[in-house]
Order: sequence, then structure tokens, then C-alpha cells
Amino acid sequence: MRGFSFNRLSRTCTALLLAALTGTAMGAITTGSAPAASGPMPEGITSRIADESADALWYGDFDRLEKIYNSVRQSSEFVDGGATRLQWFRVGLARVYEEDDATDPYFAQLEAMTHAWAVERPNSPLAQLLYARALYARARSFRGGDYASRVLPPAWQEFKKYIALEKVQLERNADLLKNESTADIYLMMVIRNDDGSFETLRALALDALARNSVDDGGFVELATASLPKWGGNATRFDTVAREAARRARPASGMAMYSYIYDQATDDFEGEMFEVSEVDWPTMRQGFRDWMARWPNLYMLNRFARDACHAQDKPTTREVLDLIGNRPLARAWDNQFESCRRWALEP
Amino acid sequence: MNFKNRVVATIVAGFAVAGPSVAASVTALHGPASAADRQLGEAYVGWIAKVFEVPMTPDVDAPLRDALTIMVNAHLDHLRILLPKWIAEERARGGSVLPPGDLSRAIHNRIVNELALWRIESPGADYDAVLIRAILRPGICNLPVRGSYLGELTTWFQAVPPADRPILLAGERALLEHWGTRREPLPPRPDPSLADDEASEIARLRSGKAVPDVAMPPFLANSVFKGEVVNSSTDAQCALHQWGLARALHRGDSARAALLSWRYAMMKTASDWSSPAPIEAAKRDAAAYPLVARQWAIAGWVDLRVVRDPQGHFASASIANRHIVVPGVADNPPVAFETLFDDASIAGAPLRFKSIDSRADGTASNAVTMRINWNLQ
Repeated sequence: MRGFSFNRLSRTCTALLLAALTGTAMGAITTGSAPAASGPMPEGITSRIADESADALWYGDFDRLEKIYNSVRQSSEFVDGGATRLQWFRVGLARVYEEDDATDPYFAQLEAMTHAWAVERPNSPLAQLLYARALYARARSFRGGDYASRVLPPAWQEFKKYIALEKVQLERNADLLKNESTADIYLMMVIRNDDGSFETLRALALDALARNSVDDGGFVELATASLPKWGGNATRFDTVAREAARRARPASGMAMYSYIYDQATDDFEGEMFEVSEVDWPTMRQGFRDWMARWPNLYMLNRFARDACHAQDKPTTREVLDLIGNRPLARAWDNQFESCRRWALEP
Repeated sequence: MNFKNRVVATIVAGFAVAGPSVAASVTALHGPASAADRQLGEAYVGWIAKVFEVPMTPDVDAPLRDALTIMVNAHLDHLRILLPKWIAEERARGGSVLPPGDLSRAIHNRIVNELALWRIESPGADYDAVLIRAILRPGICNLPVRGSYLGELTTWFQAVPPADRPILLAGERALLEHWGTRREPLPPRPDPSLADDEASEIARLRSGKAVPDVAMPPFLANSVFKGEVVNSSTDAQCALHQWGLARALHRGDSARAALLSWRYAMMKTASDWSSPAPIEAAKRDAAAYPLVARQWAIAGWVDLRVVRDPQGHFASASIANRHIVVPGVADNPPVAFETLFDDASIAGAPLRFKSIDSRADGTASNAVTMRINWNLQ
């Protein structure tokens, strides 16, 4: 099985990347405001589109990638737990770009392969995007995931070099990429790493939505840029989460609010309910909104986990009952058993 | 990411189960010679039928399956004529005292060598041009499991445009008709081999400073730079040599030369058709008589080019020449067996070199030739 290394970047790409498992029909948690999806509950961790795009990139098959991309880039459906086909496509790419334990020669090959594609296909938006993303992957490989202050100067220099190269690549092809929401999101990743302003990032997130009204990956990226560790603060983060719910998926209540906060729990180092401005009743409603439209086991498990963190025992019990014998380890960070015991206490 | 866990030995396992083992042949040969010989011949035809099993997986289209079926049936008919001849030749060579196990080994060796010869010959430039396009097609090494050697090769047929397919099929038919004939002139084994060339480039890339001339697909890069054994996966082996071929063409090698290197690299050797018990193999001294060579009664010698350091001590060894004697293979070079002693010869070189060095052979050069004899006890 391929080793996935989902970091913030892949979260940027789609809503439900970290979700998991199979499921059965889900109907209990619905608001009644939208029809619950019928049929088996998706895992919420992957999708056929993600698997196929990962496979095509993994084997270096550009033609296949482009065929998939052309079939998904303007798709407006949310599938397999709540992401668009385009977002799942990016998830697949991210698996290859973020290969576990890969070293620089791997990223050098990835850069060389996608550079050749970009040169051979100057009029292909996808070819230009793939090369840009490879430059970002190489930049990140030098930087690592630690705080900037702990990155050694030579690695930092390489990181900045490749970030700058990606920026040039995206700007040079701006005209070709003017209809690609993915270009906005990739540029946001660059700007976030290049100390760009929040206003610029927000403009890009809105631009991504203007290019593709269902591609809310820009707002997830904007939320990341609003975290204290990226120069933001709790108020700004909350503002982004609310704006995302209002603008990105306007017909789905507070679903995006919950998603954005849920994805940031690690960034708040387990103290989200203490240090952020999250409003649990709103977040709880957002989970219900999400599950009403795009039920999936991963999100259900995260709902229970966050309810536990919020010390909302009735909700934790309610959702744990729905989970039954389907707890997802990767959704719980080893906290399932302690939450379950706490929820069972009188 | 990990590779699909399909090893080259998949086919070998099929052979081990379905193929005519030496022991089975010995039993068969307890009967009257002619009946036993017929039985032996049929057993080997049955094995080749498995090797040439037409893949029935849905990714192989019906017209291709039909064309392959016709080709394979013709080849099996051809073999039904060849095998009695080969058996008769062995009997004539061995006389009335030919042990039954030896007969079966000889036939096995001849078939294994024919399988190798089949893959290194070119039926012509048109075929080669089509094949190169198929080999270099991106994503081609995402190989579906097809259960037979022909199934693996079907990948190339399936990859080419419909208009090119008849060229490949005609070429394959022509090559199959060569079975049992003396191939002249057989193109010599390239030196350095494609694998050598790939290994030196990978070492250069691993330093992190070199810029790739031709990029690897990510799955190959991942395997190579994480130090995984590329040869343990058919996909990775395919991709490695696809990359090697692309590099050779990129630097200006002729299509003919580049493809020949690729053919030798992709050719299945006697080791690929044999499966020594893994535990036994793992325990063995790397310089010991190779199990596969012992199994098929292979002997010969290997000349090593040994480089000495300034103090006259052993520094490195490489293959300079080989002479391999293979029971059953007399009409053509034993291409499937030629490299059987390479690794063991090189592994044993430092130890053996001491004795040569201590004789102070008086050679001024830093490189000397050392012959390693491999004689069956």
C-alpha cells in the first residue's frame, strides 16, 4: 500500500482527505434541511479519482493525467464524502508529491519529469501546474515541517530558491492558467511560505471560487495562513472559518466552519477549545450539516472526537452510538478509548 | 509507496508446479525409451504452453487474443516437431548410458536458452521502431498481472496503435520460427551492460548534485533512491530498463544498439526460470557455486579484470570474459546462462586474488586478469 503523507497542503486540496473507512447507510444525523445521501457511507479518505490520479502520476503517465483532469476540472459535484472531483484529483497528486521519507534525488526526478512535460506542452495548463507543484514539493523537502527558525540556513536557502521558482512558473503562465482554480491555490501556498499578505491570499481564495464556484480549497489554505504560527491570530482564523461557510458552500450551513476548525486541531496543539475562538454549538451544527449532505465515516469519527474535546458528553455519546464498531484510528489520535470511557460515565 | 509485490519468480513458480521436473522425467524414463521420450517431449510442450499462455484478462482485447492464440498454437506445433529431434540429438550425444536426469536437464537448458535467444534477436528495423515506441510509452510499466511470460510481453502489443500491431505480430512469428536454428550472426552481449550503465548513473544521481538527463517516473525514483531491490518487482525492472533505454537514445546511441542493450537486460536468464529455496539461497556463501548452475549442471570459467591499488592489493574486479558449458546448448551461445557465475566470481575475487598477488607476477599494470574455474564436482 502506498504511504500517504497528508500534511496541511493536502488538506488544502480537499475537505475530507483524512477521512477513512467504509460504511453503511447513514440517516440519523441530519438536519432535515438537505437530503441525506443514500447508499453506503463512503470512507471519506479516498476516491477512485484520487487513486487514479496518484497512479497516473506515480507511473509518469501525463496523457492519462490530462484525461482525468479534463474530466474533473469543472465538475461541480461533491463526491465520496464531500470533496469535488477536482479536489480528489489534487489529493491523488499530493500523495506522490508528498511521498513518505523521500529524499532530494526523488524530488529532483519529479521536478525533471514535470519540467519536461511543461516544456513539451507549453499550452497545457495541467503540465504547467504539475511542474509548479513539483517545485513546491522540492522546496518543502528542503524545509521540512519544523518551525522556520529551526531550519538550517543552507536548507532554508534551497527552500526559498524553489519557492521563488514556483512563483515564477505560475506567474509566467498566468494567462494560460487564468481559468484554473488550482493555480490560485498553488500560488497561495507559495505566498504563504513567502511571507505574503493576508489580503493577497484572501483575494486569491475568492478568485479561486470565482474561477470554480465549488473549489473551496483556497479557503482552507487561507485558514492555514490565518493560524498564529503563520502570523495570524484566533480572531482572524475564526473570521475565515465563518467566511468560508458563508461563501464556499453557501447551501450547506456551517459545514465548512466545522471542517476548517477540525483540520486545525493539531495546529492548536490540542487546546483549540481553550485558545481559539471556536464556538462549539456552531461547530456541532456544522458537523450535522456536513453529515446531512456528505456522510462519511471519517467525519463522523472526527465529530465524536471534537465533541469529546469540547466536553459535550451527550453529543459524544450520540455520535459514538452511530459509529458503533467502526471507530477509525486515524481520526482519533489514540483518544478513542479515553473519550469512549468518559462518554459512558454517568 | 510500495511496488506491487510481483516478483520475477512468479513464472518460475508456475514452472515449478506445472513444468516437467527432473524427478518426474526420471520416473518417466523408467519405461521404454521411446515412450518415455515422447512423454518427456510432451511434458516440455506442456510447460511451454504455460509460458505462452494467452492472457485472458479484460485489458487484452479480443482481436489481439485471437492473433496471439493462432501464433502460440503454431509455435506449439513447431515444438512438437522440434522436441523429439532435440531428445534424439541428446541421446545420440550421450549414448546409451545417458542418465535420464541429464536428458531432461539438457532439454530444459535448450528451451531456456531458446526463450532467451527469442528475446534478444531483432526481426528487423520496422519491428524495432515500433517496439521502441511501445517500450517508451509512459505508464507502460504499470503492468497488469497476466500470469504468463507471454502475458508480460503482451504489454507491448497492447500498447502500440492498431496500425502497428501487425508489424509486431509478424516479427514475433518470424522470431518463433527461429527456434531450433543456429542464429548467425547473434549480436554480442553489450559491454557495459544496460544494468551497468544504469547503476553508474544512479550512483551519480544519488549524490544529489547531478541533474537527471532523462527523468525517472516517481515510482522508479522512489524505489531506486530508497534503496529497494528494483529487480524484485517486474514493474520496477520494466521501468528501470525503460529509463535506461531512454537515456541511451537521449545521448545518441543508435536505436539498434540501445535496443540490443535493453533486450539483454530484459531477457530472462536461467535464474529467472529456476527457483532455489529462498532459505537455502540466503544462507549460502556469495562466492559458492551458484545453486542454479549446480541445478542445471553448468560449468565453465570466468576471467576477471582485477584492479590493484598502489600497494598492489585488490581494489576491484569486473568481468572480462566467460566460457560457459551448458548441457543441451551446443548450437548457439548459451545466452541465458552466461552470467550465472558473474556474481560469485566477483564475490570470491578478493580472497582468490591474495594468492595471485603473493606470487608477485611481475606485471607492471595495475590491472591483471584472473581466471576463476567453475567445475562441477
